[in-house]
Amino acid sequence: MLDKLLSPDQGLIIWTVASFLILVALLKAFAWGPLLHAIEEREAKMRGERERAEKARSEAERIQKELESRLAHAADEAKGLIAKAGQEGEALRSRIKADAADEAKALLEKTRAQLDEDKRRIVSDLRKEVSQLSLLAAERLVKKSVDQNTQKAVLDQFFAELGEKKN
Amino acid sequence: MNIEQVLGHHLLDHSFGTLFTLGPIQMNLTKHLLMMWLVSAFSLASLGFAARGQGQAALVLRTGLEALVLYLRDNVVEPLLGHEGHKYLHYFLTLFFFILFCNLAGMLPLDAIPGNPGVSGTATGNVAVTAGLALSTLGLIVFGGVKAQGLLGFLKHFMPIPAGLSPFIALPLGVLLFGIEILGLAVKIFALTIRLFANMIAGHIVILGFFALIFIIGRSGVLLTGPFALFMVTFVNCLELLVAFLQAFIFTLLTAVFVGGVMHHH
Repeated sequence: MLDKLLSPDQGLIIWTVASFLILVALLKAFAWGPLLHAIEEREAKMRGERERAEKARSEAERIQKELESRLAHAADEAKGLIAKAGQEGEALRSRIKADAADEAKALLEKTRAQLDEDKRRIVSDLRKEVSQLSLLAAERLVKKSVDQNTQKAVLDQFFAELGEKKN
Repeated sequence: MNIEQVLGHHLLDHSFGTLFTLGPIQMNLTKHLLMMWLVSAFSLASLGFAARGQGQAALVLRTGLEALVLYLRDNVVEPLLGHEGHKYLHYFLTLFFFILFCNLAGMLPLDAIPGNPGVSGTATGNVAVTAGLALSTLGLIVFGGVKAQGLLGFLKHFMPIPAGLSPFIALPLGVLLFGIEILGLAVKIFALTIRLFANMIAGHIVILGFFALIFIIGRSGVLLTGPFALFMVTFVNCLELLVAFLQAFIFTLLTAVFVGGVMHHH
């Protein structure tokens, strides 16, 4: 009886193949198709999200780098500006100093010239005064009336000689 | 009661009659065929519900199913068949779940349901059923091989002659190798058939053997036979549960190995 165990029923082999292949088709349509489709969709979505996240991260990193470089650039620029301002200030200071020195010198010259001028005028005035006074004194002294023009000529000459000697 | 009769009743197929004949072949409606159809209907209903159903129960089932499906896809089909294997994924998934459900259905005591006309037993414990599944694998090997490499490339696959040989050596060597390769393929298919069949039937035989111990030894008055047999039967049942999963996986894995082998050049 048990020898039947090892003698395959040919009809059942055909039944098995047919039933199994039909089951493959049915399960493909009603189970594996929708299931695998859902799985692949989800995987694609996850892949897309991961790619998006990676892209966003690299973008953020790029922006950070750019900001850092821009900051470094700004720092350099600021340093340059400060140095330039310092130089300009220095130049301005020296120019103002030079101007002031020039002005002072000019003022000094002017004052000196003025003083010379004043001195000259005062000396000339003084000379006139002194000549008149001397004349008056000499007149009184000699008690003799002399022609005023002659008197003056003699005195002028006297004072001119005096001036030359002095110089 | 004759133990051979008991074994025969539990292990052998039983025909309810001939549906039609294909030439000399009788297409019988048998116990195991009905079990297969029952399992197919159950697979279709449960897997379809798990894949497309709404609600909490379907979600739980779908989560579990996805874990198995992803395991088979990422650890069996993809490494062995490459990305092209995704086209055959539904075949491997069906193969795994069909064998698994047949194996598990054979462990259900359907006989005990009142009014059951005798629809029970392990379909995968029938050598005709495992032969049918192995022949389907053979069909997939040929189909996948021809589709991936062309008919000529597929046939060349059976004649792995090193290049640069003189034709006087290459021709006889090719014929010899072709014979060996064809024989190898036949052995693979035969081994698939016998492996699943023997694994499924062995557990049943061992369980029936332990039950028989009760009647054989118990008759002589040894009282501990019953508890011992019960313990051993429970143990073997647990083992069978493991084997049910293991053999379904091994059949699927080997099918993938064989199909992957012909789809790529070595």
